Amino acid sequence: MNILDKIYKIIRAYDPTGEFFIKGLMWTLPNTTGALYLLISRGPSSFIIYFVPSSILIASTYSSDYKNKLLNMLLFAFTMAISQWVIAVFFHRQVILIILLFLIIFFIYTSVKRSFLGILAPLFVAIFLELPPGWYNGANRLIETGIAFIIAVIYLFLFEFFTAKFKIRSSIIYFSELIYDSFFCYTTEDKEEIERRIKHKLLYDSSYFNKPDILVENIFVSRRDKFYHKITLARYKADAILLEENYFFRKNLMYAFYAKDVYVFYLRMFRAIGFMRYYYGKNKGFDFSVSFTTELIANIYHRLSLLSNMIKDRKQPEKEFRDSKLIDNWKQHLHKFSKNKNEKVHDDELEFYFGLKCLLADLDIVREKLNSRYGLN
Amino acid sequence: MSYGIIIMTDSYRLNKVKLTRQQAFCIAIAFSIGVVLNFSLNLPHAYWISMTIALMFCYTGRGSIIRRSKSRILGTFLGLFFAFLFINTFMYSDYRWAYLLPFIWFLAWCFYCITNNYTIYVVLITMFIPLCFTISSSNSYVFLLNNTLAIRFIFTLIGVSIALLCEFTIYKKADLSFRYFKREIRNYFSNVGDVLNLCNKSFIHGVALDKKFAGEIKKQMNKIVSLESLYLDMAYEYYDWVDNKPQELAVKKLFISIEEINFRLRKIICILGHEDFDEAVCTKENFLEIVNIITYKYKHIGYYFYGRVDDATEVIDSLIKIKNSRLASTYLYCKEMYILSKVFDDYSSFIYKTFNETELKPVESVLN
Repeated sequence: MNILDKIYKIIRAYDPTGEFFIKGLMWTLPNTTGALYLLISRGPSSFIIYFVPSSILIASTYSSDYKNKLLNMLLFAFTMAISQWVIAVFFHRQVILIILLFLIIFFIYTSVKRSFLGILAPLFVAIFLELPPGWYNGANRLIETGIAFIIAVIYLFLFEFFTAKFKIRSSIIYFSELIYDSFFCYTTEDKEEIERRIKHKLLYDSSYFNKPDILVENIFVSRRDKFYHKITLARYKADAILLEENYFFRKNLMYAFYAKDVYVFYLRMFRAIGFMRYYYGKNKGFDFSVSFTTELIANIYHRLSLLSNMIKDRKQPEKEFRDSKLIDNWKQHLHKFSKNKNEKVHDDELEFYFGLKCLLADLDIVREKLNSRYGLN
Repeated sequence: MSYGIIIMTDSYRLNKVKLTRQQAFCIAIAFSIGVVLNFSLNLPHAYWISMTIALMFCYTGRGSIIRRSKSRILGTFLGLFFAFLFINTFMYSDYRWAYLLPFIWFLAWCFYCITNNYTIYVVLITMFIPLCFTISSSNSYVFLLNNTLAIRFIFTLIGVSIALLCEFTIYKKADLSFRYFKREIRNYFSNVGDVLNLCNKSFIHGVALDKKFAGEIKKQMNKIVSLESLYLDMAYEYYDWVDNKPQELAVKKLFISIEEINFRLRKIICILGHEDFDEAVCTKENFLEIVNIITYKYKHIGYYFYGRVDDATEVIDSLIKIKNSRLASTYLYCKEMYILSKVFDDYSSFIYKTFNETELKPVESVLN
C-alpha cells in the first residue's frame, strides 16, 4: 500500500462522506474569490470583501430549502450591512451608537427561529468598530457587503451544482457499508474476525469516535452495541443529505430521487438488524433451530457487500448473487418451525428470524432497484 | 426542595420566547459595556473586548459559556501566537506568503469540522482577524509581537470577565441549561407519544408513514442531541453536581431509557414496514385501546412524575403471555409496546421515589 492510499484511508475514516471537506471549501472559496476581486479591482476596500462572503454562505446551511437558505443569507448580509453603516455614521456620536448597537445585538439574539445569527454576526459587529468611520466609508462598505452577498449566492448554486451528487453518493455508499458492518457484528461470534473483516474498523475500534456522544460511553457495554449506536448517528447525517435537503438543479433532484429510493430500503435493513441484537448476547453463541440459517447469513454477507460495490462502481456485478434455492429452503424451514409450538425457544431467537426475514425482503427490493437503475437485468 | 426535585419532577412549560428575550437583553448589555470600554479606553485593538464578549455568547446556555471560558483564553493565546508568527516570520520577509493563507484556512476549517473543538474555532477566528487587518492595511502594518499579543490577551481576559459578570447578574436564571434540560425531557417524551400515535394509526389502518412522521423523528433526534449537550453544560452550573448521587443516577436512568425507547421505536417501525395488523393476539379495538393508553402516558409524563401509576403494563403483559404465534406481527408489536410501557414506568416511578418522600398514588386501572 503506498503512502497516498494510507492518507486516503485515514481521511476516509474521519470524513467518510466528504462532508467536512466540502464545509472547508465553503469556508475558503467565497473568501478567496473576494480576495481575488480585491487584487484585480485594486480599489480601496475593507476586509468585508474577503472575510464575510463565506460566513454569508455558511448561514445558508441552517436550512434545507432554497427559500429559507436565501432568506438566511439575506438576513445575515443585511445585519452586517446595517451594523457597519451604523458604526461608520455614528462613530463620533457615541451615545447614539451604543444605543443602536444595543438594539442590533438585542434583535440578533431575540430571534428563536433564526438563532444562527447569534453565532457569527455579533463577532463581525465588534470587528467593524475597528474600521475607519465616515459616511463615505460606510456607503463603500455597503457596496462591499452587497458584493459579498452576490459572491455567496453564486457559490450557493455552484456548490450545489458540483458537490450535491458527490455528497449523495458518498453518503449512500457509506451507509451501505455500515449496514454490512452492523450485520456482520451481530452475526459473528469471533471478535477478531469482526475486527478483520468489517469495512469501518476505526469507527468500531477507536474510542475517539465515542467522544461526541455521551450515550456511547455511559450506557453500552458491548462493543457491538456501541458500534450499532454509532451507525445510528451516521444515519442521521445521511438523512439530512438524502431525505431532508431540497435541491435546485434538475439533475440533482433526479439523482436524489433515485438515491432516496434505495436509501429508504437500506434504512429498513438497518431497523431489521435491530431484531438480531439480543440473540448473541443471551445465547453465547450461534446455534440455530432453523436449518440453513448459517448458510443464509453467509449469503447475505456476500450480497450486502456486492450491493455496496454496485453503487460504488455504478454497475451490476458480473456474477448473480441471489441464492434463490437457499432462500426458498430457509423460508420453508422457518414456516414449518413457526407452525410448531416452540415453547423452549427463546423470543430472541424468533426475533432473529423475523429480522432475517425482513432483511431478505428489503435486500431483494434494493437489488431490483439497483438492477433497473443500471439497466443490466 | 433539592435541585433534584426541581429538575426532574417540575416539568412545567417554560416560555421560551420570554427566556430568549431576557438572555438577549443580558448579551446586549454585556456587548454595550464592551463598546463603552472600547471608546473610553481609547487604546488600539480595544474592539477585542466586545469581540471576546460576542464569541463568549455565540453558543447560549450558562454552562456552555462557563465551559467555553477556558477554551476562549487558550484559543486566543494560540491564535494570536500563530498569527504573529506567520506575519512576522514569513509575510514580513516576503508578501507572497500571504497566498498560502487560503490553503491554511481550508485545512484549519476541515480540522475544526472533524474535531468540533471550540478551542480550534477560537484559534482560527483569532488568528485570521489580525491577518486580515494586515492585508487590508495600506501602510506596512507590522505587529510588534510582545506588545500587541499582551494587550489583546489582556482584552480577552476583560471580555471574558464582563461576559461572565453579566451572565451571573442580569436575568441570571434566563439561560440556565438546567431549565432547558427540564423542558427538553418533557418535550422528548411528548414527542415519543406523537411518534407512537402515528405508528399505531399506520399499523391499524395499514397506511404508509408519511412526511409528518419523518418530521417527528427528526424532532426526536434533535431533542436527544439537545439533552446530551445540556447535560454536559449543567455540570458547570452547579458546584455540587458531582456529589449529588440521586441526580447523577436520575440522569443516567434518563439516558438509558432514551436509548431503550429509541431502539424499541426502531423495531416498531420495522414491523410496520413489513407486516400488517393481524388478530393473533387481540382484536383491533382492544389493541387500539391499550396502545393509545401508552401513547397518552408518554404525552403526559408530568402526571407520572408526580406519582401517578397505572396498570397499562400489566394489561399488555397479559396479552403477550399467550404465546400462540410468537412470529405474528401484532405479538411482536405488543411486545415492543410492553417494553416501552415498562421503561416509562421504571423511569417515572424512579424519579418520583428518588425525589419525593411520599408513597406512589394508588394504581389507576386503564381499562375503566
